[in-house]
Amino acid sequence: MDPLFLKKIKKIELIAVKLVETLISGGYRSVFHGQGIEFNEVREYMYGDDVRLIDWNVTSRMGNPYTKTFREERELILFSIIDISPSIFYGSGPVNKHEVAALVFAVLGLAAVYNNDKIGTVFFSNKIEKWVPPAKGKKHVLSLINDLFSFAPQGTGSNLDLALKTVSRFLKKRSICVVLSDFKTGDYWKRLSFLSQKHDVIAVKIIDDNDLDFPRTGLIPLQDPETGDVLYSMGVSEKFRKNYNKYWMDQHNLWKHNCRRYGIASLELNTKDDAGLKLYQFFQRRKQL
Amino acid sequence: MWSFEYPAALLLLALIPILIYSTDWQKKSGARLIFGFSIWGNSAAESIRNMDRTPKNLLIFTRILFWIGVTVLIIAAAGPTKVSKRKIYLTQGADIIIVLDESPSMSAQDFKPENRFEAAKSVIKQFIHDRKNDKIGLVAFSKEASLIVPPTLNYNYLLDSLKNIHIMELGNGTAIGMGISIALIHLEKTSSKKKFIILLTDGDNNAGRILPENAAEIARQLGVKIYTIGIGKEGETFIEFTDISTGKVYEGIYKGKFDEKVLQRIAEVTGGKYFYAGDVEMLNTIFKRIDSSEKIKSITRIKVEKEPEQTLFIIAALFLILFDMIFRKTVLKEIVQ
Repeated sequence: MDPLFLKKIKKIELIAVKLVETLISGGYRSVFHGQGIEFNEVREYMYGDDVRLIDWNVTSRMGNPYTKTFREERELILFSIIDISPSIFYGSGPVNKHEVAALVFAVLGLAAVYNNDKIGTVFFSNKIEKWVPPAKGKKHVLSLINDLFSFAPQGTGSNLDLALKTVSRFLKKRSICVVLSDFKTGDYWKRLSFLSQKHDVIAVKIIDDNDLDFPRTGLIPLQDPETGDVLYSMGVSEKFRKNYNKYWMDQHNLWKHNCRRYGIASLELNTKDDAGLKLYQFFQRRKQL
Repeated sequence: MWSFEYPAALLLLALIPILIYSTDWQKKSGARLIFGFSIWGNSAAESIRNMDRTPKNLLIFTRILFWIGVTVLIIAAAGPTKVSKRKIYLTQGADIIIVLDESPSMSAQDFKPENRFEAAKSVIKQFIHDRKNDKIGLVAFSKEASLIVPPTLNYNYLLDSLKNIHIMELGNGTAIGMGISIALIHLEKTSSKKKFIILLTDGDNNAGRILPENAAEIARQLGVKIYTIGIGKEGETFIEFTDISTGKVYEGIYKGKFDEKVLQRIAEVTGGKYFYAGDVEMLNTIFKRIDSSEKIKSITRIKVEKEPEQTLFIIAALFLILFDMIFRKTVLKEIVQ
């Protein structure tokens, strides 16, 4: 691992710890809606235990009073659906969208480690680039983070629909699904709303300033990394900038509208934002709900 | 006519499609900024590409001008020249003077469409057109005789002058001897080996101090042939003309005839020929005959003149190419080339 990556991870871990503290102090349950309590074991009744919880079946069999113990459903699955399509490798500032996504994934992953949750992930472009079934452990998460930072995708599109389909087929138990993408992909709403009915879905849209406002440049032929389309952009043209802004504003508003409509928690992250802080605020807000 | 000094340079034109392909048709080449501007697999939304095509159209426009400029530049390199061919006569032609009667009787309307005078003018005009490389002069006479144009190769001037002579400019009368004499004065000193006079008249010699016979004798001595043409029908004819100096219109019946004998003698003495022209067709034929009997074998050379014309092409090409550069830098504010 290169030193820069280690440095990044250290920083990310700090953010993760802070985040976990927030989550735990507020009660994990309140942030991620688990199933409730589940049966753990039976043990001998001790003085002070709630008599209502005495398991009479076992008591009559054993001759001594036994009581049931419960625990909270602790083993949540955090499943990240991460966009690794070419368009995500863009950033007008020092940080690109992919790095933001990786950071969010790292923070959530490490937070999950501290909560003893399972972490699974899928990287997608126009195909499933990498599939990792949920597993526990810090080592597992760190290797995933490393993978994500250094992943070179082969696909050229961003087929979120396919990724969502795969995930919803695989995940039987209620999980937390985090979609990290720029959402520059179409026709995924049906699948996303379907997924959100069963799972706790958080859609994180990673945006860049240039996604909404085209910079005042001269004529530059642009090529889309995914579709290969060519656009002759001209930022000095007021008309062009207006059209561009309107187009993406419409797309963005549509996204927000749909998120609300399907009850999907949404978070927008700008590449120039402090992703850790934004995440922290996001979960604070969720806690209050 | 246009031609090229170095036509091989035109082969460079074949490179243009290749250059256009490699520079402007960069479908998959790297001269583009990778920037995600479209939505992958989105069937619902219209592509942003279709929203504003003006930048692309402007670029196409200026690039077309640029490539036209390059094409013009290659054409300039091929050395476009204007080639003009000119006939140059190495031999000297004949010296001819047409002596034309402009007495009032010439306005007799027995020659269609107008009168004798105008018919003669148009036939002479045709004659001038038919001759090449012969110096032709024009003498007009009635009571007086006067040189209108000395023998010249400048046929345009000659035709202009022919158009501008009018009846009765030189008084009322017919001074055939004077007309011949004036013509002889101007033929005397010329260097041509072949000299002849075409005399057109419709009347008797009734004025002038020199008799036609004497003038003919001088002509013989000078070696000048005289073709004499008597025109006009026998009998009475109606005349009408305007005196150009007073503006007065004269009308009347004219009954006159010309002295055929004198004209015949003049032609005989000088070795020429006498013709009688009763109408326009006859007059025409007479001139045709004179023209063919006096044909001179001439040796000519075609001189090819070449005038290089690439300056205009170079300026046009520079203008187009510079326009493209400046337009792209200022209006389009292009960054990547």
